[in-house]
Amino acid sequence: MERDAGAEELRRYFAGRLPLRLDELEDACREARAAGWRGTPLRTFHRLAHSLAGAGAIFGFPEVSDLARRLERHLKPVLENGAPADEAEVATLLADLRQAVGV
Amino acid sequence: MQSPGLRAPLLPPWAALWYEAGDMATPPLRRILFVEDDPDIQVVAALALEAVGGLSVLVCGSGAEALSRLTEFGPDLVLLDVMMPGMDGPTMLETLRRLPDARELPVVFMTARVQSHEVAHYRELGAAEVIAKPFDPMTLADTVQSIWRSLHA
Repeated sequence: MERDAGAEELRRYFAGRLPLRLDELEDACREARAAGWRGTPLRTFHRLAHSLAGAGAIFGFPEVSDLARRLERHLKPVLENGAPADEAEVATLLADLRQAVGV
Repeated sequence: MQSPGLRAPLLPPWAALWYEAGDMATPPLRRILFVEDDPDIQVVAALALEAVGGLSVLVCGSGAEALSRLTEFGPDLVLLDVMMPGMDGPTMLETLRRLPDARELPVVFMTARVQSHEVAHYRELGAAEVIAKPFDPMTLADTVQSIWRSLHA
């Protein structure tokens, strides 16, 4: 019971943080796009997706975690090999994340 | 005298005195240096280790910050995120291994990348253990204590 209460408290905490984290992720996406999907802005965007995937899983938001992980995986070859970013796919994943968060 | 099973390279410097005093129990784990760039994971892990585990935790958001505060805090063990901006976890571990005071400090990686070849790589780098993300906040302290005990078994 105590464990459930603790987990629920953590969920509430992270639910309150999610809108801010999505804003941060979308800002990073805009900056990565403006930089031609290269360099530090792209690395930041990839890292934020990675972090959101990890944090979402820890705080009990599997859908958020899964979508963020898909975004991270989509960006990995762009980051590592200079593969072209599929902007439509990125936009879809970000929109799905917004929907999952409910903001 | 050192116990035959003792993994001396993984022990903090004061541990030798502990064993010489004849107390063969595992020395207590008290101080954790937690290095993680994600602010929310910082919160939940610190809560888990402090409130649930009764440990003293110093949270650092980067490898550079952790290195600058290492001596002042004097951790028994380091929990280290792998993917961080600037200095990543493996680079920080490499740096620690070059510092006389931290050469033998146990370092545990925390990462979502836990395929067998990745874990083998972390161990080759000198990691004492690897904790998979996502971790369960309610059992994180127990996991860390279990690792600590295994290092002194």
